[in-house]
Amino acid sequence: MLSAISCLTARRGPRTLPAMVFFTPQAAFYYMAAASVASALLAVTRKNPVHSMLWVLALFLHVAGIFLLLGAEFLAAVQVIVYAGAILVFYIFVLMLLDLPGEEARPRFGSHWPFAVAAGLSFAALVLLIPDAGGNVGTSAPLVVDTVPDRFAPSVTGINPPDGSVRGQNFPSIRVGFSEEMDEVTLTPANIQLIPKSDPGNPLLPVDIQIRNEGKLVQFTYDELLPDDYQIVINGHTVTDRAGNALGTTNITHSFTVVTAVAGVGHALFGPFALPFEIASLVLLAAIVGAVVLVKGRAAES
Amino acid sequence: MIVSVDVVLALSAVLFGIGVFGFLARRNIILMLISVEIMLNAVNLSLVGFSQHHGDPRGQVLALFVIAVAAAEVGVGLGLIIALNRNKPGAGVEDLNKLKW
Repeated sequence: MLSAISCLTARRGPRTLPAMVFFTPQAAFYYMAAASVASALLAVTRKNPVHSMLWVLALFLHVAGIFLLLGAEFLAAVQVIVYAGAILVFYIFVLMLLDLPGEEARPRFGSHWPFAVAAGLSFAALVLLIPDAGGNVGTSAPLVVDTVPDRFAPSVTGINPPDGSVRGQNFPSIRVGFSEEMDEVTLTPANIQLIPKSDPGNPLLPVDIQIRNEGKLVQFTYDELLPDDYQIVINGHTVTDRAGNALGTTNITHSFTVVTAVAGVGHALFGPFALPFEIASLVLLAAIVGAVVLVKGRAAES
Repeated sequence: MIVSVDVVLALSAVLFGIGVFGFLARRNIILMLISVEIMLNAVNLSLVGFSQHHGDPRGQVLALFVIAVAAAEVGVGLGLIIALNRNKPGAGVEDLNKLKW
């Protein structure tokens, strides 16, 4: 952690004031996390409903900040505009419209509230205690029982990003999936290269290599991918499974395009997710019609 | 990724637990609905965390759809509250016991 921080400050040049060292993205994340938990707690416990709404506003803005830190710029903007802007104003509007006198005089919780505390705590504990199912290589080695010598060549089952796809630069990583458990020492940046089109002589070097699913999936994470066309080249001779069978005799090549982060979300929404996107608009339309029918219904009859 | 996905998931679980508590404990029906919004936000947080962890934009797109469904839910839910309020003023859930056997 300390070395990471010193790396960060060293890369930024002369701004190595001691006070600046503490303002890292990690510190910002933990501040936002603590603030969002605190404002959520205050939101569900305040007696005055308007105060609750204001604490929910604080929660939404802090969650938007977390989205920004996690590389979801577009979602952060949508969070502020749609959640904090539209949805919350709708809530406050209805709250004011109903004009609830004496709301503060009534008990804020039902008499069953200890059970609600238990339910909330046990749900959070349930989610927190679920073991890591990500298939990350841990301490236990996979059990391999070889009764027949493995002479079958492995194959590539999938590369993410897919061939010819477009993706945002906030996802600076590639993943290659294999049909068999691969020899981990052959899954190197030299054997699986990511080549930018503008500078084909210099394949990018990953900052992090993760091998998952007992060696069936490798993920290379890069420092940053600038908007450009990229090519993934997998050397068929040198990438082998654990028995030493090579992928093939030829190189596997694969290309994709990196655009800016918001453009990446747009390409996903209007490309592979075009139909779900249209269905979401239908859902919204049905909800608008439903809300109008619900609110207007009786007035129209009389 | 600036923090591990586990931290994001833990934060999401805590926020979801607070939302569950709020939904079950509050008596005001509007505050029960806003607790649902807190839960939806927690889910969005874990979707974005997974999206970063796996380097896959689909998680963010799914979070966008969750926001769209949340907007639809708010429209219908608050419409229901206004229709209920017309029949029986007030926003306490204890008063809505007409269907109780």
